[in-house]
Amino acid sequence: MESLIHFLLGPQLAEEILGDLEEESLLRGSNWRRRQLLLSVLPLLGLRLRHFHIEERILLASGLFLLPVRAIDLLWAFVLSQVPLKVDLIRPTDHLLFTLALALACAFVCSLYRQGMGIWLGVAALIALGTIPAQLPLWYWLLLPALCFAVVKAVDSRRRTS
Amino acid sequence: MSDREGLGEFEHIIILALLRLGDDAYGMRVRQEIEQRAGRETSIGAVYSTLDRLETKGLVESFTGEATAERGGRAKRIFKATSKGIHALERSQQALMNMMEGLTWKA
Repeated sequence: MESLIHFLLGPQLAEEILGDLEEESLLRGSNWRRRQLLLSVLPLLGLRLRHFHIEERILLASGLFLLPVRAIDLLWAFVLSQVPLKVDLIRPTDHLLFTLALALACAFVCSLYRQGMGIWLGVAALIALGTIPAQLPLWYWLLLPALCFAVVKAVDSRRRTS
Repeated sequence: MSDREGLGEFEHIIILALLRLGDDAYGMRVRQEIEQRAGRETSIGAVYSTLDRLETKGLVESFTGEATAERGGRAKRIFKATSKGIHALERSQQALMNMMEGLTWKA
C-alpha cells in the first residue's frame, strides 16, 4: 500500500503523508495505520488525477472507455466463433478507431476547460455509448449507462460535499 | 476560484482547523483537530486531497517543515490559510448566518 502511495504521489508528498501516519500510529497502532492507508487511496487518487497532464488525461479517458468496448468486442468474437455458420460474420471493427478518436477529442476539450472530473467522464461516457456497435447484447446497453451514471454521480457528489 | 464561489463544508472545516492550529497545522494535526472538534472521522488522504484543492484555488499555502524522529525522519508539510482563504471563509460563514437568521425548526 505504501508503494502505491509513492507511485501515486511521488516521493516528497508520499513521505510527508507517511510521516504523518507514522507519527499518529505510535498512539493508535498498526491496525489504525493500515485502515487509514486503505481509506486514503481513493482521495489520493483523486488528488493525483487533478494534477494529471493533458497526455495522461487523454490516456486515462481512452483507457476507461476503450478497454470495456474492446473487451466486449473480444467476448462477442468468441461467442460468434462458437456458433456454426457465424464464424466468419463480419463485425464492425471501425467503431474502435472511431471511439478512440472521439474519446481523445473529448478528453482534450474537457481538460482544456478544467470543468472537473465528472463532466469529462460524463461526456466521454456518452461518446462511448454512441459508438457501441449494434450487435452488442442487451445487458451491455443497460449496464454501461448505469455504470457511467454511477461513476459520474460518485465523482460529482464527492466534489460537491467536500 | 471566483470571488462569489462558496466553500464546500469540508473545505470550510479545514480552513477553520488551519486557523485554530496556527504554525502547527500539518496533515496529522489537521485530521486530529477535525476528529476532536467536529466529531468527524476522516482519512489523512481526504485531508491532503482537500488541502491540495484549496492550495490550487489559492486559499491555502504550504511549505516544508522539519523532520522528526517520531515521524521516521520524514519532513512535515505545514499549511497556512492565505488572506484570500480567510476572506472566502468569512463570506461562507456570513452566507450561513444570513440563511439561519430568524429561522427556527424542530428536530
